[in-house]
Amino acid sequence: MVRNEASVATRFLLSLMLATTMLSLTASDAFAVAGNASCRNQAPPGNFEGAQKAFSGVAGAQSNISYANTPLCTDVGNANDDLKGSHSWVAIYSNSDTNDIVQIGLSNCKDPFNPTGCSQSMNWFWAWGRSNCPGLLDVIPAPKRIAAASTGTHTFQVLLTDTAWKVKIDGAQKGTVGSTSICWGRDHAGWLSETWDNGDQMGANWPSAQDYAGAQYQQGIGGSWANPNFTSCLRQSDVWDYLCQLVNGSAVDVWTDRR
Amino acid sequence: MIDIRHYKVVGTLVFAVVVLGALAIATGAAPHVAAQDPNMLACGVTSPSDVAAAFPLQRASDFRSHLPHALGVPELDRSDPAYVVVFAGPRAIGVVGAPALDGRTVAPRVYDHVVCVIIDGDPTFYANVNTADMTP
Repeated sequence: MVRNEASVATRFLLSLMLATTMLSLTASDAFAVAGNASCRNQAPPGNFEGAQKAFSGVAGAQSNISYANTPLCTDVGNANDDLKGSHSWVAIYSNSDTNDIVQIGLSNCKDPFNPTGCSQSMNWFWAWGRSNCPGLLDVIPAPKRIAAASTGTHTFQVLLTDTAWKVKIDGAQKGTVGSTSICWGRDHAGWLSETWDNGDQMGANWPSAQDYAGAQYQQGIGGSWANPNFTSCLRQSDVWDYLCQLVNGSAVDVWTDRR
Repeated sequence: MIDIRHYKVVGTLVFAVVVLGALAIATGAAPHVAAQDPNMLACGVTSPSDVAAAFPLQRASDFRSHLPHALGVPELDRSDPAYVVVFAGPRAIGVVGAPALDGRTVAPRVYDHVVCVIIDGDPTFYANVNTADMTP
């Protein structure tokens, strides 16, 4: 009798181990397909690939960005599966704080604390943030959904006028915030792709690439537009399969090599 | 002799139980969330315990009359109606911030004293809000 109970217990444990193995194999990187890897649940910060231009007083940034479907990572049953995202954007920002930014671009993200901005589908989005502005509340630059993204290549622009910041797609304004709402120094323009989880796809999928082309920045409010003359990719990634390549001084390609 | 078929069957059953359990948890939570105000859902409220206070504003510009110690919000100086959700605890909100220029160190992305303000369905999240003497 005791032997039978032990046998049942042993079988149950073996079954449990088998089930667990099946689950882990299903979710493991060994079975990951391109652009649909398992969530890695890494802590912030996110990953970045692309290019930037340091320029004090920059007042505009724009480029064409080609559409790329960027699948999010596959849940593995961890609580941290809930936060994941892939974004491709044009922005003006400050080196004073990573939340000091105005940006517009493409996004696919999941965030239970921001379900409006992150609807788990390919969207156009914009965001703005503010920190350490005397007398003003801090604003968290969480994605704001504009509309479902359309395929093809579109022109994304961030522009500061005398009275307001404006974000545009193909010349049409999609969002605005008054210039009095932002105090931070405008010292960088960026053309970057970003992921929140190492398993999210960034840019296009190997061997194709997501292309930022015709990048320009504006040298002061109402000033002339200039070629950023990229000399190197900006790369801040925890994983090897996010890649970046300069095409020329105003174009950069980003993709995920997850073969 | 081990009969692998037996373990496959039992393993599949355990897998099914895991999936059904997850579904039960998920469906158990859904009706509660669905019953909430759309503004609360837009701000990512998943449980009443998330919220310290929630109230409508006839005009967005009334924000500081309800939160007298909050810092300035010039972007709310407008006459559109708004809805305010004051969160009770920290919120780990995903941000599309700039890359860190001094390596990989960035500001924490778990925010304290978060307030969500919705105008025309569009939420904006504020952090480090002084809610003392708040009057919903």
